[in-house]
Amino acid sequence: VTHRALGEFEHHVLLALVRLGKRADVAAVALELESVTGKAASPAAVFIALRRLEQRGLARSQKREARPGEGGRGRRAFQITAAGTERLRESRRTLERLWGVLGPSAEPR
Amino acid sequence: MTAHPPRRAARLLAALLPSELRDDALDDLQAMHEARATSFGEPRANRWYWTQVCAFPIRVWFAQWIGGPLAPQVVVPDRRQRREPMNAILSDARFAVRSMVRTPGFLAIALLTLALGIGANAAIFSVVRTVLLRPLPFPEPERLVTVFETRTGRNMEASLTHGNFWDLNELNRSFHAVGAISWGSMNLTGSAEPERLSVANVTVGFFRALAPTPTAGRVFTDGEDQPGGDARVAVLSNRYWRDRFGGDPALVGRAITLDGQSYRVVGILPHGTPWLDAAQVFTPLVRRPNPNRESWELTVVARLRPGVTDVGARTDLASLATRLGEQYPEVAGLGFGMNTTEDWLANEDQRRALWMLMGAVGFLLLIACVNLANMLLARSTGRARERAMRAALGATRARVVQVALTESLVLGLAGAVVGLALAFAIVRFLRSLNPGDIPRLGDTQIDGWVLLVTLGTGLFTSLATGLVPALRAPYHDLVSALRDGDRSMTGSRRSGGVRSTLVAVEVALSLILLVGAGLLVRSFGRIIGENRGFDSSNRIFATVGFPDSRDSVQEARNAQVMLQFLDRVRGMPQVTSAAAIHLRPLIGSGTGMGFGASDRPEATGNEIPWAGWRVVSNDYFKSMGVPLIAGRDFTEHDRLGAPPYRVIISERIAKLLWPGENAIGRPIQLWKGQTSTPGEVIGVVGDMRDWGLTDAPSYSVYLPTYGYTMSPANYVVHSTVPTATLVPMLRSALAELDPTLPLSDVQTFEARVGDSVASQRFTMVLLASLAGVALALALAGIYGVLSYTVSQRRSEVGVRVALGASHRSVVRMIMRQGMLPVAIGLVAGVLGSMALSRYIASLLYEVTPFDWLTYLAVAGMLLATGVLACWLPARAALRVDVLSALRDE
Repeated sequence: VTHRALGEFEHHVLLALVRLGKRADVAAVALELESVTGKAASPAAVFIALRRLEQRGLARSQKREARPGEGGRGRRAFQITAAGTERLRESRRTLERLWGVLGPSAEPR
Repeated sequence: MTAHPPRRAARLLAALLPSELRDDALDDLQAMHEARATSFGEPRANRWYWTQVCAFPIRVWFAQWIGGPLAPQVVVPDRRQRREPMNAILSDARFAVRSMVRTPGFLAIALLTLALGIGANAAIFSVVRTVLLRPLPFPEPERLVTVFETRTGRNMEASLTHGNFWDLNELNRSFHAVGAISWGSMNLTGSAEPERLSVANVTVGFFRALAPTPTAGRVFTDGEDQPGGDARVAVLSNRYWRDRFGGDPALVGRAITLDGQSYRVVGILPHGTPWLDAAQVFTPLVRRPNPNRESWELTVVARLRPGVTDVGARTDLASLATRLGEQYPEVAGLGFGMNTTEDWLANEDQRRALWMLMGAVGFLLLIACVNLANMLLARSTGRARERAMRAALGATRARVVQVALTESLVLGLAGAVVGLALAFAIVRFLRSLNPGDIPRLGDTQIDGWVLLVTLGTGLFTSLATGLVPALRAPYHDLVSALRDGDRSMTGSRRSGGVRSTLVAVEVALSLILLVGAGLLVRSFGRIIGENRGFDSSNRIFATVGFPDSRDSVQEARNAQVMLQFLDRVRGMPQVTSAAAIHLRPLIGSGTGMGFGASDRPEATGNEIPWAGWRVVSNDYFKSMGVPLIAGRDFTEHDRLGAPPYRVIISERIAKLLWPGENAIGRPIQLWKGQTSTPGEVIGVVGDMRDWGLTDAPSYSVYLPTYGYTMSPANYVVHSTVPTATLVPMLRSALAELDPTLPLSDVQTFEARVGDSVASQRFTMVLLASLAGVALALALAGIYGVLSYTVSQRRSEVGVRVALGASHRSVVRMIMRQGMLPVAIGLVAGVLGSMALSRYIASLLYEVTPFDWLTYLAVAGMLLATGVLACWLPARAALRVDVLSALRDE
């Protein structure tokens, strides 16, 4: 497992997985990102990011059966792994340490 | 009720996605579609889904290509090892893509430059290929020839007379088949609206010589062109069969009514240019009982027997002509000549124009290459450190060059793809610009050959542009490259020289293109501005086709209706004047005759002058805006019955035959050397350029229509109302006279004039567009190089300014450096244009290829472009912050 830094978008996607709790699919993540950032999220970007996160061991996925009344064969649902949670925690700590030295007056204008 | 994505979109999406991701992606997108349909409504959700059809697979493929597979790998046998053989090149390519994506500005400009060069080449090449290079649509086309008649002492290539054709057909020993074709038109009736059809009469030998394979049924067979045979048979052209009968195969065997007679359709021709689509219907040309040898009417094609050489056939033709000349006194001096099929498609001017355009796009590609080489060079200088590092880590020189070449290869291929897309757009544009008289231009499409050539162009471009920076990659001077790194000032002097040379080349090439375009524009202006002798404003042409006059009753009726219709048109209050004429002007062909003065001694040895003749009604000259210079117009008492014919001649004939004297009442010999019919001059009118605007005003003889039946009759109408108002009035006037007669080919005189120069306009517009693109590329090229140099010299400028150099002197220094290659390029370009001038000379009308005004204007334009391209970066240099520039140092 590489220890490459999280990209900003990957960061957002991981956080969305945390916010959504267990088992979120691409559609749910995209909607969550849209509702928080106010910008439309590209489904392809989310689709790709989730798979890359999975390959790095930060998320895992499972094919879910279709619910009655739902089209298709059922969607792949993603879930953050322990490693993913640890990585988020670590990045948060880093950011907070960096911010902490500075007072609110140092907020960039 | 759940919303479903559009079925077709989903299917397309499924086809575009990699199989291992397909189900997941489809399900996800379907869920998102559903959510969108609920909140925004289904149409908007569907639109969104369609955009995903395009965007989603591209991003997924791209992500896989750059970063490896996305799907979870079920079995993972050592992936690295499996990829080893292709590794180097693929990973180089991946590296190249990554590094270019990181500089999107560079990528966009490089791709655009390449795409313009490659796209223009692919488009023009596809035209050249379709129009000039594709073989004729007949088997063994190299054995096909056309045959023409000559007379000793007269410089002409005439069509064959009926008598000579049939003798040639029977007595020759060289041809597998000889066939004749003559053109006409007939009325198709029996359906709702009567229709005027273009008809070709052909002998049986015609299709035997061309040997097309009919799409359905058969072509004509023996006996159908002989008197007493069944000549009421017709073969339809493929285009007409599709357009009019919807390609119905059951049409073969059915009857159609042409000029009131029933014809049995026996076959459908294949699609093809020339000949096969040139008429809508083909009927047999039946041998006449007493064929004349005076009227040149038949275009003759022939197919050589296998094994017969060109020389053998010519010898055979010569001996046959001698025999006929001895046998028939009226064809004394007869000769036969043979032409290859070269002129069957584009004529010489068109071929020349297309090859010139091909050369022009070649130049454009070179300019694009130069631009790109410059960009890559600047980029490689900026990355000297990266390369030095590779070398320091043990990469061989070959490996370093390979990395650099791979980058330009990837760029070249991407450029070829974008260029191809552009080429599709250009080809569509060209088809819409189709002047109509360039054969097969409308069929232009991008085929396998064009794809191959485009790919080749892309490769050539990559090599041409990549090699310079690749070979310049610093290898030996590792230490200094590593130390200087990105702000290397050491390497820049040498590569600066290369860059200046490239700018000079670019300016020279652009100048050549611009001069060519400028000359064509000036020439076109001359053509349009020339005094035409007629007035084309507010005038229209229309045709009324009469049924073939089979007997005197029908013929008299046709003549009567023709004049009655003219009277009705003239009676309309909106019509200023109207007249009938048997052939429209400016159609690029016409009827001709030799002529001479009967009251002057024959000047021996001179060639007989040649005039176009037209049969016209009275008021023709008034309707065309041509002045009557002397004598009078025709009246209905001037009948074309027994000679001498009363004729009106153009001023040039009067000046030629009776210089400085009154021509009215003089005897004139018409069809001199053929029938030598006597005539009498009753009027002289102004000259007009009715053969074509680029032809000198013609010698013209006008004959009265009274006592002659035009079939079809053309009308010229000068009116005060727009065409859209006038045409329905004409139609209803004609329908009142005879509802079975069609009014066809309505065209304004202005449009007729426009069509007659469409070919020239086509070449001019194309070359001017290419030159415009070249100018833009040159501007970008000069600007790019200079602004790069300026940015490299920031610290130097800073030092100079700090030491007290004035702004003006700094600008002057930079301008001088930038303008020097431009000036050298201008001189080289002028010399190059002069060297290439003979290729364009034949396309010019009354403009010499050394037209100094054009050269001056073009050079001025390029100079201004150069100044602008230098001034912008020079100004930027002055804004350099002295302190920060010095700190960098």
